[in-house]
Amino acid sequence: MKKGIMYLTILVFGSVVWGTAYADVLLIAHKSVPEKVLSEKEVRQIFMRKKMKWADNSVIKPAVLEDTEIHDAFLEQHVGRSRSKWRAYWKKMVFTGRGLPPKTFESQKELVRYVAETPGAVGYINSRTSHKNVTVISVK
Amino acid sequence: MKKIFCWVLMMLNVGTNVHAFDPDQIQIHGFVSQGYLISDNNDYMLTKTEDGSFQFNEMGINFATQLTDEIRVGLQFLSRDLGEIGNNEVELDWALADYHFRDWLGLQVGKMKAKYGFHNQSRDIDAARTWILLPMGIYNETLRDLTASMTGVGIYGSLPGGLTYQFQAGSLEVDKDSGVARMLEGFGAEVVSMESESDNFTVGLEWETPLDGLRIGVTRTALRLSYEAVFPGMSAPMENDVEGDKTVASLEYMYENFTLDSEYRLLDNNLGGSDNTAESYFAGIRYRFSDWFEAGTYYCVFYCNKDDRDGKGFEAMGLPRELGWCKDIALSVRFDINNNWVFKLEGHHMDGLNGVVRYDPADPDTRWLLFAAKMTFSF
Repeated sequence: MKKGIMYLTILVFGSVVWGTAYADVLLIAHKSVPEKVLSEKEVRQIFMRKKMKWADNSVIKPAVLEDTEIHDAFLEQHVGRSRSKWRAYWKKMVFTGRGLPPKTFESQKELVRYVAETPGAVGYINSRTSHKNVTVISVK
Repeated sequence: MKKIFCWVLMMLNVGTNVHAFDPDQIQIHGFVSQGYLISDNNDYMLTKTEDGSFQFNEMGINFATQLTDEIRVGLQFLSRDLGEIGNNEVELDWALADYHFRDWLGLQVGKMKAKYGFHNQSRDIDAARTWILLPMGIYNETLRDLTASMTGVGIYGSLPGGLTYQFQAGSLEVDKDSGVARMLEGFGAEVVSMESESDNFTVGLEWETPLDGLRIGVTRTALRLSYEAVFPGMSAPMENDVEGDKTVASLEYMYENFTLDSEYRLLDNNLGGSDNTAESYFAGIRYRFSDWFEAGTYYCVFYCNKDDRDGKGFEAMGLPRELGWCKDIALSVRFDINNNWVFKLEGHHMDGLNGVVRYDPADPDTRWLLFAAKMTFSF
């Protein structure tokens, strides 16, 4: 019985630790991007395309992942919206002529490559994903 | 229709290399939304709801692209039907060029969705909201032509402190087949012609407050149009100039899976022949239970004349005084079948006859029920 409780405890806490680790979102940008630190509000505005220029007036090119756990974690932590609210927001924007959604990638590897190769690009990945040739953005 | 699309694609210089969801190319998005309306009494919104009606749909397709880092162009065709209005004629819903010079200054030219409250610009987009019918006291579907779009110029931008602004000026899309003309005909007038003046404008200010999820806004809109109509007892048409000035205060608060909405509107107008101020407001709450299920409710009140909330003016004309208001309690459920398909059901308990086009004059049913169902596909 005691062993059973121990295994159950390990399983539950292990899941929590695993879940937390997986949801550890890292913001990355092209090396030329002038800002290395962004506020929570700026991150939200960038991905909702309300802020479209960096400090040097170059164009911000946000990149997002398709519906995945890391995408949900990013939306929850940095945009303050659920996946359904995010979708509803972009339907409003595209069907009223007010904006085009961020470029969407199937995999984190593709997103990292795009951010590394595209001046002005910004995106997010799981912190355990390899992210060479990009700048890590701190969120204050 | 096909010819128009081909022309559009040629103008945008695309051949077979068209990909939806590719921001580097032309993006194509569309929606088809079909609804059903039925009421236990009375016909509502120029639609034979008492018999039940499928004449309640919207279909749209748009093409948009980012020509350069700062210039975006696009257009959308829309076909809609709501009883006597729309009748599924294809119209240009919006077509614009947008120059995003700085975050604090952007310029738009063309036909734009008009800024008015928090929900007007997306009023035809069923997939973007919980409810089927927006609160009719503020977003009157039969008078949609007066607020849906503006053809002219607009500027917009973000200011420090979470403020954003939008200003649009131009002409409205009204003619003698518009909902506002149909409404005048409901009072016995025969509308000969109707056209927009060019000095319409709307200005909106929004503030994303320091409290996460709370935004508030105010919109001021000036509408100017003229029409010629033959009124009962007259032999020749009479020319009328209509002026309407609308002010809307809006609030939205999102907290986790809850969203609270509220708006208050005053409409100064001379549509009825004399100066009058209509008043309306609503408050609603929505809750997202899961990725596939959401429910919401709102209460909306509309008074035709805020100085005559009991409708005594209508009574003096020999009409039911309940024409002077409509109080609407709505309950909606929304099912997201997947990313593209949405199904909704909605019930309304109505008190009042404003917006009703056919009722029994001898014994009007002033408290009645309306049910709506709608299925939408969007991509």
